[in-house]
Amino acid sequence: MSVQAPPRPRFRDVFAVREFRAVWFSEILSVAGDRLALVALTLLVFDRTKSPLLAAIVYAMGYLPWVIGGLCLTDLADRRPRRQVMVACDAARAVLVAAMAMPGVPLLALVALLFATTMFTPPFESARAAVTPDILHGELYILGAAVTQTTFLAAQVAGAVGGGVAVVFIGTRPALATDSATFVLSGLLIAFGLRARPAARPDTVQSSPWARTREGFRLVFGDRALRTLLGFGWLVAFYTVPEGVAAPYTARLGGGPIATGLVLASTALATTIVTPLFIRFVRARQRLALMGPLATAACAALVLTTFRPGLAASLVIFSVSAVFGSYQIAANTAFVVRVPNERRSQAFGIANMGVVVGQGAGFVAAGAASEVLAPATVIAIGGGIGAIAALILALRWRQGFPATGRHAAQRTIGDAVDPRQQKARKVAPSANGLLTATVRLLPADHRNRYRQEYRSELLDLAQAGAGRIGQLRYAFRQLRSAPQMWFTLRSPRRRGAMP
Amino acid sequence: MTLPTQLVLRALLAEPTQEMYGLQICQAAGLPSGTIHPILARFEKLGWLESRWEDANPHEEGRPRRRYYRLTEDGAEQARIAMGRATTSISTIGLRARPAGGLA
Repeated sequence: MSVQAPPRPRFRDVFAVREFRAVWFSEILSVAGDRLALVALTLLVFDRTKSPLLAAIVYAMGYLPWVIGGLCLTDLADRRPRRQVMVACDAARAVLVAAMAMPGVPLLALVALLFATTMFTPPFESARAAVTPDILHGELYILGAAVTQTTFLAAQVAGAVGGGVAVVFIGTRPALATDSATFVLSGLLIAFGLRARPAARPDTVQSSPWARTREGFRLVFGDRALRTLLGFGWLVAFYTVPEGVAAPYTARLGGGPIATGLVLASTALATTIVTPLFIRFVRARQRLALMGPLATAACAALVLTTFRPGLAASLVIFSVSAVFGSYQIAANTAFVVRVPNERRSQAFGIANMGVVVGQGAGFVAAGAASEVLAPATVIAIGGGIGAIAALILALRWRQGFPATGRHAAQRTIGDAVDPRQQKARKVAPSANGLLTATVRLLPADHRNRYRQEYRSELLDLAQAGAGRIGQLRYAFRQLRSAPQMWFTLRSPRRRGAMP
Repeated sequence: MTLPTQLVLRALLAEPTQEMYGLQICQAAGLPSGTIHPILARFEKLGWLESRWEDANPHEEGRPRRRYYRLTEDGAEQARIAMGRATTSISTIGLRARPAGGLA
């Protein structure tokens, strides 16, 4: 255990990996292209119909395919080689966007084409996310994930802005044609830049898409750790409420579109700057331990808007909240470690879908609430609810995975324990007392055994870093299973198969 | 067979000859600590599991002894059969015990 730790990798080292460079560049092209198509088509629809409502509907529809694609198509990148899926998605999108650029396509067909184009984004994104751990390992992966996260945000903004600019300067059709070309380029990068790898889970038995989707859900929701991590990821819906009500919020403060832009930029910028620093200066174990507190702080900071701060103070609050949001990268990596390779793409698909849908729903809910409440109040409420949810998740995480998560706990609880790494805590008298009482509920002839057994487990938990709350929870769970224990211990001994 | 029961069985079957104590089984099964004793007690009654105290002398060690569990030969066989028959078999979900090891 005292082996000299290898030097910590730097961002430079991530880009030294040829395969990652290819995936990263193709990601920029794909994400920006996706956004560009959406903006260009929204403008095209508005131009043809002069109806802001229709344009808004088209824009909102950009989110719907995430649900369908996220549910049904992300599984593809587990059952087929991921490179093949990514190239196929890019090819499909190139063709669809090129079709959109054709002259004389009816409006309805355009919307349908956009819908179909967006539907290929979730499988591409999931395949990309799932293939990254194949390319980068350990700490390098975390750096790579941070780079991709930042790139994703930046490429989305660039695509939206670039889309607007391109439509204005070169016209919608040429813009769409260019977009089609970016998808072709992205596909070529993947096809030639990524090594061929076999499918993670080749089809052995025939199963319906519905059954496969259900299995994916059972994987992520059936596991306590994954469920908690998913919750941490989805919290983003609460602390990005300011972005959803940026326009009315700044309008109340007397600001115009520039102020709105500042709100949007400040949060994106804060996340972009702080995430790499978070990785650089906080060790992997501490990152996991900090996840709960940071998530709670990210939401709780927004409650400060109840005091009706001015624009400058608001920007500080939003930025601080976004800085705390850097815990997301820890949740992402912990999630990856726990998902088996055979279902990695699908698991990412479900996680991404939740983020996109949650954020969309959050924006709509916040927008609706802003009709009757002050936007500042809406932000504060969103932050408050989020903080409570984050607190619950934080407690679950700490209690279920003492010290710094399950893997750390496994190492600590296992036989080879380095005493210096142990963050030994004492057994809490309250938990001990509850256990003693629990044991009294068992049949008399079994009490002695289980008193020792439970106590030794409690001590192990304490030495693995479980605090008083965690220990009490353990004792409480034993209390809860006491009736079942009583019946089991009292039932006659019967050898053989299960009844 | 309930899902926790299947998870416990699978955790035990992963290393059928290895002895584990309660907390280790919880970890391996991915279940919260303090929830599996009824399951273990039931399997002990069925004769699938056997258990023994840790060898250490509690007075010398200054802490209570651990109770180690291990599948019996017959138990391992029965457990495999039961897992194969389970209607909502977790093997189809794709959950699997993950090897120890951190992120980095």
